[in-house]
Amino acid sequence: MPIRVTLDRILLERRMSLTELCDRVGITLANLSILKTGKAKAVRFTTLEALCRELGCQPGDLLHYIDEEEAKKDAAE
Amino acid sequence: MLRTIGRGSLSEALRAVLWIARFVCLLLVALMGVLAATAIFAYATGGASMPGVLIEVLSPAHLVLPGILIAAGGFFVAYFIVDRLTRIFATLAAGDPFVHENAEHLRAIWVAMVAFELARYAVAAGMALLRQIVLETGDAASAGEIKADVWLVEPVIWFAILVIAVLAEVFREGARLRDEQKLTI
Repeated sequence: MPIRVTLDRILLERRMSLTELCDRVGITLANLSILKTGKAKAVRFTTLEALCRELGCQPGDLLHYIDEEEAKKDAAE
Repeated sequence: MLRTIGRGSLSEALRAVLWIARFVCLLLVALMGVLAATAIFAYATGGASMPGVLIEVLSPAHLVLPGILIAAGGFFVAYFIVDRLTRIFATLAAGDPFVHENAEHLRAIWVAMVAFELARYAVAAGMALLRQIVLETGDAASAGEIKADVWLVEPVIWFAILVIAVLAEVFREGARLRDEQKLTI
């Protein structure tokens, strides 16, 4: 998918664990893992709002558009 | 209010009925197999060591045997369809109908129905040919016993086939949407 989720990078910058983020936003660890690994098909606005609020960032910091070729490389990795 | 899907619902009751129907179909297939084998044995041996009643039921073999084989085929198709329906109803009773397997079961059902309809036309054409051959031998009484008028196109069956084909695609789309819903965070 040509949308890359950069949740891991932001978590690293904030020195926050995925488990801590789960507790703060009220999303299960399994669902956040799906989001973090780029396997999610869609993100609800309410989820995005909770993530931006707890991480102190903008939606654009979490989601990046990449071209098809790069997306294929990402999927292969 | 009567629940239609899930535990203790109408689906669960229908599933039990289908399970019984599946068993009955299987029994009928087996019975037709035994009758066919007996008819072949009677034809081959001239019925030397068989009870008179059985010989009477199974003669003339050239007319009875095709009928038994057609019935066996029909019961087998019925078993196949009921078996697939039983599996679909198992998912309904579990409260989770939109799975990819159900789309495949419905597709198998409509393909089986098409195959059976086409086979029915082929058999009817064969019977008409057989009647002509028997007529040419001068045995008008036997020729009269051969039914060849079963190849009328049944609009209801073809309509049902089309409806099931559409439903198969509905289930496929439903399963796709469910998968997408699962991956919506």
